[in-house]
Amino acid sequence: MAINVNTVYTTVLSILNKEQRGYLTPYEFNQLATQVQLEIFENFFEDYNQYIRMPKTDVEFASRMDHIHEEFQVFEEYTFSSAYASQEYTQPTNLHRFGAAFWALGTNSPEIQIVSEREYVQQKLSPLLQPSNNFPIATYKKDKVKVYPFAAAGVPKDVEWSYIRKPADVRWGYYTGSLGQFVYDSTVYGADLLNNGATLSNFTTPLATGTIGTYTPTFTTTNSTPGSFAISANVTSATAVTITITDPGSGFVVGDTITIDGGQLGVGSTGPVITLLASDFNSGSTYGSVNFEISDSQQTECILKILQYAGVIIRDPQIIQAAQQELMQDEANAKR
Amino acid sequence: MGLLTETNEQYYAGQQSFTTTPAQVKFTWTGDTNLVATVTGVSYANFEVYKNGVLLTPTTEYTLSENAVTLIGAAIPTTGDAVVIKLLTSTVWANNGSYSYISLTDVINNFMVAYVGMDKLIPRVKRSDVMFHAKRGLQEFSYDTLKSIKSQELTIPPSLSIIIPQDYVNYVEMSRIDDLGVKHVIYPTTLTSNPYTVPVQDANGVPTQNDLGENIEGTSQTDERWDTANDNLLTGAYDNEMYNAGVYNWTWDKVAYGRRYGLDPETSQTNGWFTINDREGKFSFSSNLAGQLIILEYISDGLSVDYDMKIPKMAEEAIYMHIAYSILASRVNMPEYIVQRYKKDRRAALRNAKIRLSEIKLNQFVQVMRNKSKWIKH
Repeated sequence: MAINVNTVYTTVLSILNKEQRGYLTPYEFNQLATQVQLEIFENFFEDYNQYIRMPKTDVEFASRMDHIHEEFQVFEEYTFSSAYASQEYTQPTNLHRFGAAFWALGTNSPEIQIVSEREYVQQKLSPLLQPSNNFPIATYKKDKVKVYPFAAAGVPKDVEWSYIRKPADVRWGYYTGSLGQFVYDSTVYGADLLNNGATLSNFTTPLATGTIGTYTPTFTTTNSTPGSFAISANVTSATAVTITITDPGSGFVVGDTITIDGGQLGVGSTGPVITLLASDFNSGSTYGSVNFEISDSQQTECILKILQYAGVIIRDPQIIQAAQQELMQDEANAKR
Repeated sequence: MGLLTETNEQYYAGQQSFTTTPAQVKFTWTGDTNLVATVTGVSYANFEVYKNGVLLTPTTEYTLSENAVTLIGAAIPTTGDAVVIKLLTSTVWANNGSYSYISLTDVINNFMVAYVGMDKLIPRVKRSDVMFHAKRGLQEFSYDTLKSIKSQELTIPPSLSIIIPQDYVNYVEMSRIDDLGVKHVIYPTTLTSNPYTVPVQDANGVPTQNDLGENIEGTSQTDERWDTANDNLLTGAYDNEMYNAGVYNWTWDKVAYGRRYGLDPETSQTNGWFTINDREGKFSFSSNLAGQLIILEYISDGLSVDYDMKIPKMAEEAIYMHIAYSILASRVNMPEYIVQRYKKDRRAALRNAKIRLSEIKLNQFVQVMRNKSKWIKH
């Protein structure tokens, strides 16, 4: 299970704030958290390789190999090529570590053997080793595989890829509260997602003849697939209203309009019409959070490593030293 | 899960029947044999499609794509119509008995799963290496372990020679067939041979050359003389020789003649002889075989065509052991005791395969030995 980003951030702040040592802004935290997650993620593969060469156990919960595999299995993907052109299949766009490729044109999709150009030429010269749909080979260059034998009419789904993707950047999403404080936004980040709980302020047509009160108005929108999108309205005068997003829905893009149906904000009221701005979306604001994707068994290491970097930022050698000692002890225990 | 992947109907009758459901036009064949459509200059169809017992016409009434037949045009069925996909007889024959074999592809896949990987003797190997050793193994097994199933029935033309089969590696037996269909073995002979080159000589016996400086080739006089030879002069046979193996064909000639002593058994037979003419890539036969029906049994290497690439299950373990040994033996730093262990395993598995495939059945032994002053208990 992934680590909650808010848990890590609040823990880090609690430790840092002891004796008023310093403070880590959400922006700094997001940078450090992403960096630390990548570090831990990359170490999985080094550790995995090391464990493979060590004596193993089959006892459940005791196998280091099984444990480390469990750590990175969430990043495993299996998809088709992202593109095809001139006998070459482009790898998936989020590929980080290549695992294997499979040839869908062979019986039961056999694995494609990746070879160098030299090996390919050598193999082509051997009558016994001619590549076929059931024994395909490929060269892998410039993020593309060229599979032999060629497909008569190639399409991206001819090649299926098994690979590890990169973890998503960690993001502690927030908005500024009434006292100027940062308030955590637990909504899962989506670049094209509207800011949940935020107010919409770009009125291209203002409210007219509204009645003071709180409403859950009906509306029309230029987005044909708004999903469960919902808003609430707080009318404070005949022409002033605060529109708050209560459900961000889906499918909105910058420039879409939301028109409150007539009579919804008081008898005889018209408008308002709101046009969405980039700042209304997660990608243009600080709203929306992304948790750590590594499992919660890495939480301690994760916090310690962030603290280590945070110590550098706030120039406190004591924090760096303490975090380093903890980490070393952790590692010594794990690899003993 | 059982290994049989097709229904009794698909195997025995070579067909799959469907009762059309509402709006169904696509019928997928799930048997082991892949359906092949007629493509001009490429292939002939290996199946037919019937709707309510009426044969449909390809292209206009149905199409084929990846073993799925789609009825089109006037042939689009209605709910409850009976649609049958039926393999042609020769295709059914090719599939009969297929369970006694395992394909080379399956052998390689099985090997990769069972013998290669972490904590195994072969932690990592290229699939192409396994394929190479599997194919080499199949070749070697074809030469001396597997049953020889390749044969051709041919009539010897007046030229007394026939072309060596396309996938020929070596011959097993050549036989003349008599009127009863009984085989009479034709032996290779050392009485003559087919010269590989026949240079035309000048008066001094020196080979002559053409304008390219190459020796001019003539026709072989040895071949001509052998082709026109009276075999009876070599075998000592009478002209009205009997050619029939019928046990009731007990004519006066057979009783009275042929009792000659002191003959050379190698030449005293009337079945005829053959030689291999390497220059022309043909089998050449003695003149008494002109117009005769013969059966040529031969071995190939098992790799000539795709459907040949299979191993009898009796020899499945032997091919695994062959691949394992070949890979281990060609690895650097592999302890010799492991190589030797697999060498022994391979040899034992191969010996077992040979015994199994030699079809030695006790009942047949007993039958052969009966009435021969031997008591066989069983």
